[in-house]
Amino acid sequence: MDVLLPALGNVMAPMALLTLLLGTLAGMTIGALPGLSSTMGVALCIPITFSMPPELALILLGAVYVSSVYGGSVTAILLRTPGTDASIATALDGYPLAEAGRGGEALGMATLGSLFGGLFSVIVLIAIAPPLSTVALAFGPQEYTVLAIFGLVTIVGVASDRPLKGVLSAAVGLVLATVGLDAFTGVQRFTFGQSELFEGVPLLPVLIGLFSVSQAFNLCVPAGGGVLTSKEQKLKGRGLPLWHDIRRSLRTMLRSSVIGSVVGILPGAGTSIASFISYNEARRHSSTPERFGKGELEGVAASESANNAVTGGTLIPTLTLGIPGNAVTAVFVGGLTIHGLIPGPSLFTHHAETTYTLILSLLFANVLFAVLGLWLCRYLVVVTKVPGAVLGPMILVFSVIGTYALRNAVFDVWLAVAFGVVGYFMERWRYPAAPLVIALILGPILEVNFRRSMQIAHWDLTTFFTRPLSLTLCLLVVLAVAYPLWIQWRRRKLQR
Amino acid sequence: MTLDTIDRGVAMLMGVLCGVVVVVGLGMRGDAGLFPAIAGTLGLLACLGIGLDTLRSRPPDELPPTLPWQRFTVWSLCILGLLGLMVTVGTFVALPLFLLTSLRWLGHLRWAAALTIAITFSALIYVVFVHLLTVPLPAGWLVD
Repeated sequence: MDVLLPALGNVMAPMALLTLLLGTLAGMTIGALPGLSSTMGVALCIPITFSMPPELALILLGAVYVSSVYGGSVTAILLRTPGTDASIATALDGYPLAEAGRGGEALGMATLGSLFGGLFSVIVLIAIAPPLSTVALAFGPQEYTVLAIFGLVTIVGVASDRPLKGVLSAAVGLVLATVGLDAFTGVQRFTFGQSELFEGVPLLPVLIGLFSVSQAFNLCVPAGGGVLTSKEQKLKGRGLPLWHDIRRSLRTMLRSSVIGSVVGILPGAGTSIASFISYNEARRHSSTPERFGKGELEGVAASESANNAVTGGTLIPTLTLGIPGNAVTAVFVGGLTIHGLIPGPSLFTHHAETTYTLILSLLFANVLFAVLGLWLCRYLVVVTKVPGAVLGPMILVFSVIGTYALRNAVFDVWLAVAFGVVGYFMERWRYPAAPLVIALILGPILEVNFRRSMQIAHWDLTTFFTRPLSLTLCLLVVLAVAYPLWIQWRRRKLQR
Repeated sequence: MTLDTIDRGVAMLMGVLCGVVVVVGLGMRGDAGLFPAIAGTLGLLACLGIGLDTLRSRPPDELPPTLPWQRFTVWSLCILGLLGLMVTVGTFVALPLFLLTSLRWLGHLRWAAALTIAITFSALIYVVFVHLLTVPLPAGWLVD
């Protein structure tokens, strides 16, 4: 409580409320634009936060993150064009409802579901993160080594339909993580004499390149560079669902929020996975499963509660252990580090006020996007009429200037553009970018802690299996590797 | 070109690079090269796996969407022009020029619309980055 009150004061300050409002509006707009992801939104905002106090910076990033996940539902329902992959399941029932003249009800249910899921996940974050950070204080180098391996293994497993491509992407990230002066021996590794690389490959230009510059290429290069969608919106009928429908969907929202929060905590799994699992569970438990896919409000509630519940869940391992579970939290780590905040238990001890400011701002952002969403959603659809070839150059300019602003270095800009081209071709050739970024973040954690463990244990590898916490994490790694392989084996066996 | 052919090429190229990383890593002083060698080996194994996977007999792989090379080249040249002009003639000459060229050639906007967007967006960047965030953007010859 002694931290919560000052944090609440930080969030309620006029400047913070204005930042929250702008962040929420920006996030909703980014989320509504097909092709622009939450990751890109957060990455683009980081340079703007550079000169802000850490509290305001985190409020902005948090607001953009949660509201962009919601923003995708608007175009999914009204245009059958999900703004983000989190809302693909929402379109299954949302668009048929809109076609039937119940678009307003569907949007209302999506907003309520998102609000429910978002608030639930923040409560889970408040309940789980502090005790987990206390446990993390007991972690030694052995535990951090195994934890980093666990993070890498899980992201590789789910990031692509061909895990080997994920492994290659992660390996490239790990190699890039070794660039710079070695912390133990002072040896220069792969710097090619460039002083800009002595401290390693800068994380933020890589993130902005892979997620924003590549997106600018995606918008501009396709022939025509056309309008993101030319479909006409179908917003008719009442603005909110009936109380009867809301009451009927409450159990679904609760179930989906639990699923979303749990999926969010697991590294690698994301919003789209959570919303599809919840959608299927809602259909399985429904008394009218045949109505799913044809315009069922419960389907919209399930998908939206789940994808917004992921947001708080993903921040739990990121804030407490410093292990980002997906691309957007990897970008979040970049945002934290430029303000001198190192993700991990210290966020809940030395920087508790700032951390709780972020957590409380997520609560406020959820309420704010719900209020704004009900009011603005019909106008939000207008942004999808902007041609990609007009949006692309603007995103590129913002990325270039934003990257330069981080360290006032032209080198970083070239790096961002280079990674933008790499990211563009990675996407075309279906190599996932998330393992690369997460390996770039986890690489130094893994290396430093592995070498420290080896120094302590005199190169005895059994040190990882003799400590209870480390052994438990090792078992989790084995489980993370074995489970997908077992599923794949069982699927092949069934096919035969 | 099918995805399998592309994967094979990527696996060969990245395999060579990972091999170089392993060799250089093993030659580093002390244990500084241990981790690069491990990461390089992981990359080599992944490349080997991808390469072998492309040789397996399976239904023909779908083609990735064709890359419009002309638009890609124009866009890349525009970006190179932006970066080159930023440090030579200055950011606030390079930005409107880049936007104008991109919007006109790639977005096929009319001159007036392209010019309006280019100037308005450059002004917005000026207000946000130079005025509000006090970022010293490259001024080039404008200041010199």
